[in-house]
Amino acid sequence: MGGVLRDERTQFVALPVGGSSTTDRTHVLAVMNGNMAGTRWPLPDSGLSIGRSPPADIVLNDPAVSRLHCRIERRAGQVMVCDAGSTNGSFVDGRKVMGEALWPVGSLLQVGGLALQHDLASDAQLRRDDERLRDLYTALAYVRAQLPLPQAGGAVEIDWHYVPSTELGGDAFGAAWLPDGRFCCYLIDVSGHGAGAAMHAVAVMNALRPQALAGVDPGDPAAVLARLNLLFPMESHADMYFTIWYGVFDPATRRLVHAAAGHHPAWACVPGQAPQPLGTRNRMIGTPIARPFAAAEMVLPPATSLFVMSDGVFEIVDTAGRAWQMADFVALLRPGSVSGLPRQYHEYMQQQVVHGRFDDDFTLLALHFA
Amino acid sequence: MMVDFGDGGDVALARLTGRLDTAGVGSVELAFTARVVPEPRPVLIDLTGLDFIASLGVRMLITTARSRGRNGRVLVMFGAGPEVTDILTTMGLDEIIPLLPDEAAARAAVTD
Repeated sequence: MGGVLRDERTQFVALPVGGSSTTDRTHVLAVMNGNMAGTRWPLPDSGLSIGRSPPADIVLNDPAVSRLHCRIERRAGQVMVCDAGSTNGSFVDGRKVMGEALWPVGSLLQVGGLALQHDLASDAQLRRDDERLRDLYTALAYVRAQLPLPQAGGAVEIDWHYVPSTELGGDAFGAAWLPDGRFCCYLIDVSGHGAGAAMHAVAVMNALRPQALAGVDPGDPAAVLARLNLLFPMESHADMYFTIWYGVFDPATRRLVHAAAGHHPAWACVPGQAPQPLGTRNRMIGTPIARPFAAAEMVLPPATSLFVMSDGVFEIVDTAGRAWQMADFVALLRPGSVSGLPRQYHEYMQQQVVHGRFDDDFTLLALHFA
Repeated sequence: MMVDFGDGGDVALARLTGRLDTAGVGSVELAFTARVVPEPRPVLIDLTGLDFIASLGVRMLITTARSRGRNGRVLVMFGAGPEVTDILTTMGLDEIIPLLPDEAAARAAVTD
């Protein structure tokens, strides 16, 4: 177990091989929240430290965490938490650690915004974790390599925020100018999670490259969806289907032609108006269809913003136990509610969701039409 | 997440209760498909207790419907609340498995 994995807030530095074991099981630290939730790390015989900066073994980019916050140590077969005089304290099952405290198996340690559970895992389980993580990170790197770069200025500005869930969902998106001067963008969401869903998403992205859509006008959303439905039947793709929102903007006429298959609407924000849904009702991609795909269009006034999102953006259960619906998120798109930046919407939603943990990929694509 | 089964006389009932998310599918899929796929009578899926359905849950229902359809067996859903209905209709699942408002309508649909 080694290497460095990181999300935006947490960095796990390589730990010595060989965790402490109880009979045939090893003491592990299981991450319970944030985007590393579900990750388990063995506790080395030499213990480890947690702090805001190196040389701590677990580095948390969290202002509530002290530079050296606490140490986790093995003593006489037990695991102890030793607070290093931190400003905001370390807590075991909600009780503040005064100096040091026993950390029993199954209990929670809270350091800043991170919750860790003391757990036991077999070597075989840890090997499986390691292999699964390696597969997921390979898949994630592959998906990220396909994503478009944000673009500032020009006729269409592109900004996005993509945060994969712990299990890596099947979200992906693209945006590109077509050779005839039209602008095309899409967002797909493959059913399920894991490397398989991510790889399927990449396969769809490759099929959506204009040069790959032989015989189909990439500026015709309904035709593109029909082609995808022929290319990706569930039965020959491990029973995976996907939903998609696909739109094409013509700067000459300011017409946005769009179609969705199994996907909720995108939302157009015209200055001075309430957000407008842009969607069509078509079945998800991967199943036989009984009728042609439907498309719709809207003429975009100047300074219109368009938000295209995956359901992971709004399908959350908040800290009050309430399940959000799309309308709850759309309310945030109104001027003055959060901001227009996808990253800031993510920050806001992360504050709402239980343990700061999204169950699905968070993908929010924002386009601004000058 | 729970699944339980009922005998409705000339139909069979399968009731899904809770959140059919990734974890929920993991806990009920085997029992659900093992019971529903081979059931010779029409099966009515009761969604009145379903709070949420994720893409994997939709996939479970599609593959079940497909397996039953190969043998000409009928599958319908009923009783979904507004949030679940919104997800199912957005996905277009109701075009694959009929979605009826209540059990009486579902029974009528399979006996017509």
